[in-house]
Amino acid sequence: MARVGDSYCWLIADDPAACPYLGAQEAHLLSDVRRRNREKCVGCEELRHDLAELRRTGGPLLEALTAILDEALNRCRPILRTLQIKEELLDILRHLSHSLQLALDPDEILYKGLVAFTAGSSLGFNRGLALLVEEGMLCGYFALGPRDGEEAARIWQEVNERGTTLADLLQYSPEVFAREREKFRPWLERFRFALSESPFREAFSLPIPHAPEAGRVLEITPEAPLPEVLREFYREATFWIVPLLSHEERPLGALLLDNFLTERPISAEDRLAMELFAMEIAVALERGLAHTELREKVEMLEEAYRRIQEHQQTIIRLREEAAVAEMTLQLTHTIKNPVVAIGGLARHLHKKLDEHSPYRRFTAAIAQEASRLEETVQDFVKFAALKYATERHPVDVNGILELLAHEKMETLRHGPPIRWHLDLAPVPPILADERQLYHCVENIVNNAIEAMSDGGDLFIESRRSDDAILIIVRDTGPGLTEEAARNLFKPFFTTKPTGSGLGLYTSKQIVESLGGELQLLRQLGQGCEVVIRLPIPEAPSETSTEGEFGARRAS
Amino acid sequence: MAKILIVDDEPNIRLLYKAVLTEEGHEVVEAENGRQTFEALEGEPFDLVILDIRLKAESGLDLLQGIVARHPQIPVILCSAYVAFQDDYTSWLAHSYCVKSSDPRALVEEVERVLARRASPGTRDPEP
Repeated sequence: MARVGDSYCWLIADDPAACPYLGAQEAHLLSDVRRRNREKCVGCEELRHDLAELRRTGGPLLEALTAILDEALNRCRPILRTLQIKEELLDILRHLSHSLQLALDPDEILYKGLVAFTAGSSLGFNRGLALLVEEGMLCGYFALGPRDGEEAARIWQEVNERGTTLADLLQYSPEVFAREREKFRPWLERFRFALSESPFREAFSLPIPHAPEAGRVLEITPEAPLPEVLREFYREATFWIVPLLSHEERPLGALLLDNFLTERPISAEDRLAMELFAMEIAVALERGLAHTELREKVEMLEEAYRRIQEHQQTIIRLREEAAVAEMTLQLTHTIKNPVVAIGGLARHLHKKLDEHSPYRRFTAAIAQEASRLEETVQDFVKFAALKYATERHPVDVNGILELLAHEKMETLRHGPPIRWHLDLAPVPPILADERQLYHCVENIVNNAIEAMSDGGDLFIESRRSDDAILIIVRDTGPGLTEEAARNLFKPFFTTKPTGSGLGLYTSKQIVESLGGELQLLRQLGQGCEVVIRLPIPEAPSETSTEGEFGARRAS
Repeated sequence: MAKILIVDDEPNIRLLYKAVLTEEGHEVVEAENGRQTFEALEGEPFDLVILDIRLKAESGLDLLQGIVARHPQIPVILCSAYVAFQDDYTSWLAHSYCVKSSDPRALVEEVERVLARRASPGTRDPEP
């Protein structure tokens, strides 16, 4: 363009065609010639060309002016570049600061911190690594960046193609964090250094008190002596350590940054920026770590509180048990002794009376009533004792059933003719109180025997199902009415003239306390079948292995 | 015929046991506490002691230990309203254990058993 008529393009203020370099947003520069000269023409080839022309025709002054202008331009360029970088740094810092404001999770804070160090062209480190102080040791925690040049090229291409902004990169998600961490996991696991170990000792003792201008950033060259694993990781690359310190200068961790691919050195200004970033991250990290610690403490306290409550429940239960035990003893003593005396003396008197004496009916009645009272006291004692027995050991169920059958056969020798059928399959031990379980089955067996007052067949079986063992007691008595079946396991229900009605209720309580269930299967007309289902403990205890108690068969 | 000492603080229980055991042909002496027990045991020879486990002022189990220590040759039948005491290790010192009942047959049988065993010394009851 240059010359337009007898004027020059950089003098024309009213013709838009004079300068083709003005953008749509720069129309105002057309009329403001001086400003246009400062902002646009300064670097324009047209002007340079015109100046060269003028120098030729206009004498030495213009030549000198041109040289001065060139020099001024040369001096401006790095300043502009610096300004641009500072602007970007400020932008990143602003984003980071804003983004960390509400972050409490140390993972998130370190992730965002390393993004700030590695994103963009201002600092734009190739790789960042975060170490955290755990129990006095600096431990590998997180790393961000490519593992090699190929990966780097792919990432950079992706960032360019998608037009990823810093705000995008600062979006934290646990998944991204985990993925990045996984990439470097084998290394991170090996990074474990003492704070007193070089080069961290030096990094944490910077700045030297009498030379604070040395800054907080420590440069580690390939020649520096290093822990072996660090040298193995960085090889020939220079890297920089930025310590993360609490507000009281307590070491929280350190960031390790490098340019292992681009090999770009850092400037004094970069160091200042790095310190600024590190301070921002350290403040957030300290807050995040304190928050995590507090949350853990709160959880611990909550757990402790829960346990205390549990203990209180236990104490209440134990007191209750002790009270019941005491009451039971008192009851036994204060009732049973007189009852024994009454009944015993009535029996004695009964024997002494003449066989035809009309008073024998009375003595017999007294003795019978005393027996009933005695039985009730006995049932109550058993009920109380069983309800509160809680010691559990691996128990051989078949052994208990055999013992029970043996003892019952013995005591019922003179009773109605009962044919015993004992069919025991191999079953693993269960956790229970042996005596408790014995009485539990005994009550059911007693009930079955009493149901067969004219004799019959009694089946006692053990079976194994998937996760439980079954104890089955079956009789050939008349069975139960619907009402009796419904009420059978309720307390104080009895169809017998004597009896407390606690027997089967106690059995049910025992089975349920062992996490099992008790079922009544057969009813009216076909005898009765009671199935006890007891869970097999998940982890077998040392003393018991499955099938230890083999099958036994008897009838 | 044997000479039996009944130790129980309930007079009616003593009355009952005395009636029953006298009828079986035994000579029965009563004591209602530890002092009377040792007075009796030191005064004349006995074949058997029937001891209530819970006396008003003292524990029958303590008394049992005293009897076994001072008169190891005399067998003791522990007699109680409680089933539970069977498991107290101190009660193992006794020759046998009998739960109180208005039907005295169990006691009478136990007495005969212990006395018969005494005729062939050196044997003790197996653990219950």
